[in-house]
Amino acid sequence: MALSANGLSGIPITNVENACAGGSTALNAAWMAIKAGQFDCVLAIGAEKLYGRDRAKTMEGFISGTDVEVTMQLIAQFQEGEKKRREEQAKHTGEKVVEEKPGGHSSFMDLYAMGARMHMERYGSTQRQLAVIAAKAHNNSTFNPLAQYTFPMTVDEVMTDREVAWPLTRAMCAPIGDGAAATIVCGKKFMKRIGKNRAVRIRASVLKSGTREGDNDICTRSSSAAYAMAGVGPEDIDVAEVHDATAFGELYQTEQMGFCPVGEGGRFAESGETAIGGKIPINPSGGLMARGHPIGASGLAQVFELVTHLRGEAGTRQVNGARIAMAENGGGFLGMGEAAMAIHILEKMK
Amino acid sequence: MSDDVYIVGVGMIKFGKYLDTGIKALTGEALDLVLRDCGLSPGDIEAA
Repeated sequence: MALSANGLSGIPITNVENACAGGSTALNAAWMAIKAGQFDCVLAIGAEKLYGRDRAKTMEGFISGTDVEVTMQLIAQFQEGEKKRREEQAKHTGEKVVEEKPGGHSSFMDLYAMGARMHMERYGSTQRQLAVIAAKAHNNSTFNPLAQYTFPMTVDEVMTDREVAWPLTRAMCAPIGDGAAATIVCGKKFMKRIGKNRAVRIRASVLKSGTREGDNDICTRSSSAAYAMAGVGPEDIDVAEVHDATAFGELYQTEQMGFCPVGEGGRFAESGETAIGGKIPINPSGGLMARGHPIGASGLAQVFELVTHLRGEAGTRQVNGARIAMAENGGGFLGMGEAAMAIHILEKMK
Repeated sequence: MSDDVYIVGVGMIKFGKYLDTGIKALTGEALDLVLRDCGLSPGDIEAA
């Protein structure tokens, strides 16, 4: 519908719905179409309108990225427990319980909070480490004019921001917003016709789904498959954009993608190695937390960012000498993790 | 094998809260940007 209103009709058009992994899923489909030799030039485009006057309606939409029958119960239990905890805390401190905006927050924030707490208990990671990751995102965004938020934040400012679902504060969570991003993918023949100019090579495009049982190590599985396809390892990646719907998302994926050992994601961020100028800059764009998360567009916004760095056009946030870049875009919730995930590895043309 | 597929254009609009801009307009802007980025026209796109 949206494309025909903008001059594109008659051609094969597939509508892709894969929750937050929609954008990268569209790119994976475009890549596959070219690989199959069916087309030589394919558009992958994602657009999202999340923001509206009815906040509750927006928040309700998120639950459809999960197994609704299962998740509703889990979230209800969690929120019941949280309500009691806040009331107890209020009794002790004498402070009033701060009521949330009507509509509350997306259930994914609760799921991420649960994951963060488990990680903190198991590996000793801290709320402050999550704040370091969020502050990095906000500080990076000051160099990205296309980000939804472009203000800096200190670690303390992140820590003391409004609580969403402990240990997550508002500054550690992606905002509600709108947006659109697109990419054009082509094969060798088309490339020869138009010239390689500012093109970038797709070394790997992998889509996987989560598992109901067991660990649902979807990110480890999809990253491994991507590394194998590209013939590279995590040590070869110069810059990455990962799915930081919350700061915990980034902490966790840093481990799962092999940039640091499992359990070390918090300490690794604290060391500064994921900042621009560090060993593996992650989310130089500001990530979902600061750049924003219009669901279907995010995956392609990650690609926009990485291609910009590979072209050497990222200005003040440029990762110098970036040659190989990696994007991780996850969506929905199943079992113990994401329901869908796509990983892309891109390489600068010589 | 993986060498045969390329990204030739990228485009994105500034993300934010656009109460009065509809999905068709958001899509159109991103489409415009990506085409301009690589100097292609809508007629070059074979599938989407």
